[in-house]
Amino acid sequence: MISISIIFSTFLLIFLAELGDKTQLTAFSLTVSAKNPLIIFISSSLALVISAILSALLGCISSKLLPQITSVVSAVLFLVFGFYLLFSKEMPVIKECFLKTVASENLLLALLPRVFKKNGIYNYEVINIIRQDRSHADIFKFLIKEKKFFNDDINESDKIEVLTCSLSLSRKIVNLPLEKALDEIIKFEQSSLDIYKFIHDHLDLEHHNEKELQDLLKELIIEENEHIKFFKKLKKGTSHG
Amino acid sequence: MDKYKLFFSTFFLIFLAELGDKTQIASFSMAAGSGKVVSVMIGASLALIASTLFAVLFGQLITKIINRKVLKIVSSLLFIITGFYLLYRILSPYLTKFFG
Repeated sequence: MISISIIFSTFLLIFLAELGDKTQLTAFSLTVSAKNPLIIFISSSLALVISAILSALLGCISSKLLPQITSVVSAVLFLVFGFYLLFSKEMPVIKECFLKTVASENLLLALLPRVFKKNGIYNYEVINIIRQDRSHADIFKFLIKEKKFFNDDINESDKIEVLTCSLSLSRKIVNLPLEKALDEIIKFEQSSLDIYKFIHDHLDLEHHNEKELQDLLKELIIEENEHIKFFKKLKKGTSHG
Repeated sequence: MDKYKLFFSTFFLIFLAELGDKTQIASFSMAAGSGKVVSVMIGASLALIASTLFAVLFGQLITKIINRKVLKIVSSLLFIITGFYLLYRILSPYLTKFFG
């Protein structure tokens, strides 16, 4: 039998005991230092729930059997985490964004021929798009190598994080019907367009005199716009035919 | 890849820290005292999820107010202090034996 009053009293007791406890502080510290609070929430909740289930079922197996070993291990883990965090260097947001751009443009390059060959429309226009996307990836690769970009080149780095998140493409598009695959590709090209636009608009020209780069980005934006138009036209063709 | 790393490192850190902790002892004694294992399990799980939610939300809020670099140093020190505290707790009986 499940008793509401016991659920409630356990909840209250444990919730109050847990407030300001080391576990809560750990979850707090992890959130502060990592960028993905949802994962922290899910994994620490899961850890707590499992340990609660263990203790309710078996009693404190651990604290009776190997209390010192678990304490030593967790102490060492805390120390390792602390020192790792203290000495780890955070990659500038903008560099991370560039790395992701290169990786995802390369993924698109690998997937596009397969999608279009499968559907029998691997023509010069598609090849041209692939060629241009390769140059986009190369430009970003070059910029990473040359360290042309620094964190303070772009303000509002929070926003670029959000933009980069939407830059994702699944390998599964190869197996999708053409119309759905095109939807995914259009969505992907749209998000890379958004990123190029954002970098173009937020470049700190006074700081590093990046006029040349801005012109380059302008070209990328035009090209990416054309790609989107082409894919949209193609999609219209498939949905009518 | 990074997501899985974050997931598992958080999981093991918290899971190990929680083993034999006062919360676990409390839920153990609640279960033993009332004999209603499932109810205690549900109550304890909900409480722990709620407390984690608070911690995560507060952590997210504070990153918007205080500089990330400062927070990183503070939270790494928090980890290190907790680590030393845990070690101290284990070693203190032996220390008092030798020096006390």
